[in-house]
Amino acid sequence: MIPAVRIQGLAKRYGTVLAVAGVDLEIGAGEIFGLVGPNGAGKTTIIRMLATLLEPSDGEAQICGFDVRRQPNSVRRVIGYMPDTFGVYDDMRVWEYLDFFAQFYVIPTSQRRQIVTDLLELVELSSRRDDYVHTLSRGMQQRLCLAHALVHDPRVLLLDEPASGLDPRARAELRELLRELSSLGKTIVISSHILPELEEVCTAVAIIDRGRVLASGSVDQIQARFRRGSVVRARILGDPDAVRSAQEFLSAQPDVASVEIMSDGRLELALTGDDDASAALLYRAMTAGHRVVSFGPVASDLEELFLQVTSPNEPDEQSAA
Amino acid sequence: MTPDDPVVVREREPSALRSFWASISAVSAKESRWRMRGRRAFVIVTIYVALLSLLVYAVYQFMYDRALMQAQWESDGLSVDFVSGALSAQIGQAIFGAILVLQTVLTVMVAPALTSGAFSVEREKQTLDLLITTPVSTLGLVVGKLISSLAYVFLLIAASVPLMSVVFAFGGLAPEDLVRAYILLIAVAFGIGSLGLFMSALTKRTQLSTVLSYLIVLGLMFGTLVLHTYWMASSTERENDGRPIGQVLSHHAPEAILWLNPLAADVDLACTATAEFYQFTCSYISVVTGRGAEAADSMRDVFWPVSAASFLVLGVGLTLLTTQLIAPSRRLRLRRRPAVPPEQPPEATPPEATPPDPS
Repeated sequence: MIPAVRIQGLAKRYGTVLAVAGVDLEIGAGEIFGLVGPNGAGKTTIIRMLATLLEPSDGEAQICGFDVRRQPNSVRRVIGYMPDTFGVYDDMRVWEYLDFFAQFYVIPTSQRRQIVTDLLELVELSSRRDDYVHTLSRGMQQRLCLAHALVHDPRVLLLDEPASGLDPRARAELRELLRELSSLGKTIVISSHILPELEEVCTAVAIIDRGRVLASGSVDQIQARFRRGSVVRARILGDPDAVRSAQEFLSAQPDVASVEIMSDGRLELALTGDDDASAALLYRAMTAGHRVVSFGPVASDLEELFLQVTSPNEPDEQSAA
Repeated sequence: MTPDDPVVVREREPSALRSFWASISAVSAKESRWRMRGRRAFVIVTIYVALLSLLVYAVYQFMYDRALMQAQWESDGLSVDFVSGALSAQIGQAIFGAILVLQTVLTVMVAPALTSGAFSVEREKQTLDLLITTPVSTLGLVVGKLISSLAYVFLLIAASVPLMSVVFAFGGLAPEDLVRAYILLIAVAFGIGSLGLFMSALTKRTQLSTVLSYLIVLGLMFGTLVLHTYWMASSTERENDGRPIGQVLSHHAPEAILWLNPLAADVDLACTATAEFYQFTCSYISVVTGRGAEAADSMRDVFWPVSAASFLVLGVGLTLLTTQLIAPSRRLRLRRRPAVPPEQPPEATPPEATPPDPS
């Protein structure tokens, strides 16, 4: 079976600047694949090359077996693309907007009407059907743009920062929508620098920095490879004495590098072990009579990992990894 | 929405021709709807026709007064037969020439205004990428934009037909003269419209595109005229005191300089209509084409068809260049064209992407 997206040695050069420096990725059908990286890492450039908007300087990329360089028109038929920034036409109604894009796929008029209705329902814009596109809110325009990418029922969706500029509620709705699309069998490639979002929704991620893939695989796999200890915050029920005794107890345990009492009375633990070790640590603390009411990582796992992996101070270590 | 909704997976690709037509109709319908929504489009047509009517009236009045003065001068203030065939024909020809020139000027002014933003606005508003990532035919996209812009120019031109028909009331013109005029106008509109479209694809900013388009239009209208006149003057044999002998040297200015000057073609059409070679229009054209006034019939339909054809060639050439500028990947292929295999996937495409593992 052909992978939905296959990228080999893909590179893009702007003058002397290497925006994408040889990327290899394989994305299976039905995956929700996250491209994670700081701003300027090359995520958008990769997606634009996949969307046939940029000619690669080197390397190859295939979508559903079609080469982006040699068969751009076939690629365009199987992808739905949503850019990070996009505009809308003035003087165009919501249904006209979707109908306009559907026409390029030579879909008969009768089917187009049904498709527009279905898509508006999917992105919850049915009530705005006859409104002008430029009167919609940012979040609605974002959903409309996603709907436009779906008019031809593409097999692969390329979404460049679809959540940027959305409020938390709209983001949650977007995640829900992505899961729904995934359950319809679509492969979704999504880029973001907002990590918790991808962590929840993605089946696999690639961490990208300075045009290179630093790590790729499922979130768990990447964590297992990169884990070098973590920071955990714990809250202990009781007076300051109880907290101090908990601090003493925890400091003496294996896999604990240090324990400090924060200004708000919580403990911050630097751990060196993996998840098993922290579970064992928590169990020992509880059985020793310390009343732990919360015990969790400081940042989201992926976020912490991301900072760790893309840390600008350790470029050698990263490329070795 | 469930997988068996009518959103079907379209595995078979439609033919290039169907894709081309679909693109043209989608783009031109959208653009025309945008252009015709509201009152603006109709107000412009009204103003345009009103302007032309005023011109026709002014020309008529001018010719009438001049004839009256001439008659008083020649026949001691006695009344003159104003409906004499000769005068009537002169009025008709004057109106024809005036409408033709005004329409040409308006066409070369309006066409760039309608087209010079076509792609630069889409770039500025970041809507072009959305279009390009569909299987839109780029030629269809460009032609669709051109059609919708030119349709409006043609609407303005068509609105002048009733006024132009007034000339038949005065006589002095054959219906063929009007046909010639409209063929020329349509060719000019196409050529200049494509110029604006090309500029909008070439530049990133609409402002720059519009300014460049108008500069080129001015260059075509007046720059070529100045160049041609200067060339003629410098290649004419002169007396010692600078008076031209009138003998044009063998290397006189090529008429090709004026092929893309719409006004030169207008002058030729006016000459063709009157066929009176003592007139300024005809003497100018006879100088340009290097044919003597004595060869009267050989001058008919010589200059303007070449001019109209030049505009058509310009239009086709610029339209094709525009598609190259718009297509993101085709530009490179102008330089190095890799062997293009037929657009077939290496293996049979899977019937449908498998749903993800539920785990």
